[in-house]
Amino acid sequence: MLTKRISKIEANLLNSLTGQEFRFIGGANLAESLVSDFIIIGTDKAAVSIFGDLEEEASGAGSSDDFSYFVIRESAEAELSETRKSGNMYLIDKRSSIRGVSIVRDQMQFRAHDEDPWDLAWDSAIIFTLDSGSIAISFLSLSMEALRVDFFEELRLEDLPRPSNPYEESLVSHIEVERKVLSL
Amino acid sequence: MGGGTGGSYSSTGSSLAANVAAMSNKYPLDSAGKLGFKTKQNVQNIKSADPDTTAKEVFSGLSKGGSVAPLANGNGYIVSFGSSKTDSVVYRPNSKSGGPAISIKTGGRKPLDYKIHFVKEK
Repeated sequence: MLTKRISKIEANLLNSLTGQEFRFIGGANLAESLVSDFIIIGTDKAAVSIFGDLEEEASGAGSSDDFSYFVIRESAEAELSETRKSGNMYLIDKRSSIRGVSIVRDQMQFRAHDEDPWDLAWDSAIIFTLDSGSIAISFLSLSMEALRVDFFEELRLEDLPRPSNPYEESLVSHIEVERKVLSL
Repeated sequence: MGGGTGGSYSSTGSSLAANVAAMSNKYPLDSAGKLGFKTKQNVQNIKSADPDTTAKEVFSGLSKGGSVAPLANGNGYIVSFGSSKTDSVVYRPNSKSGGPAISIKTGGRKPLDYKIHFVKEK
């Protein structure tokens, strides 16, 4: 079983934002689409940087299976100042208290007749539940660093964007994904 | 891990689908609408005498009109397009599987998610 899950330390850091007041989503290179590999969530007391990273697992013949994962840590002062300088700060009108943080875990199973099978437990999204609305930071794809930010007035699991993956469904190839939301 | 600093630039007036279509004049699409030819199910290949130069050229074409920024992990560049939440391109000049690689994700009516490896023509 492959795992691409956030660590206990990262979970604790995210959870430490509970009870704080949400102020902004930003990033030095976060364009209007709110798609980037580096996103800062800022509150009245702290700022946390959320990165999309990628691990390439060699799968023979010069090829690889690529699995994205979150890297989460306290924002560095330089990251914050560059974000402020860039002006790329969004959702500043959604100011309200963070009630809780959840992650979306995708249990994935890949089977194909001519390829190595794999099972993966993948944390594919982080959800910040505010007093009014929710902010989701999700991967665009299993195989890319890119993250997207979405705001929901009311969030249901089925409304969350599903990351794509490069594996084709066919008679000889199958990928199964089961999603669940875990409260931190 | 670095901090995703600086270096972003952008222009307007294009989309990833249009860029792929424009590139297909020189690098034909396969039957699934992907650049290059299929090797295994999640990877396409483009062969040339100079894979590094070819990868740079393809990336330059694909990123037209997008916002290009260095990846925070230092492994290459990422592109987003206008207000699209589904289109993105990542260019890794030195992928771990050998040589340059480009990952492409498009949304729309026929979404695609694939990687191109640039390999030396034998």
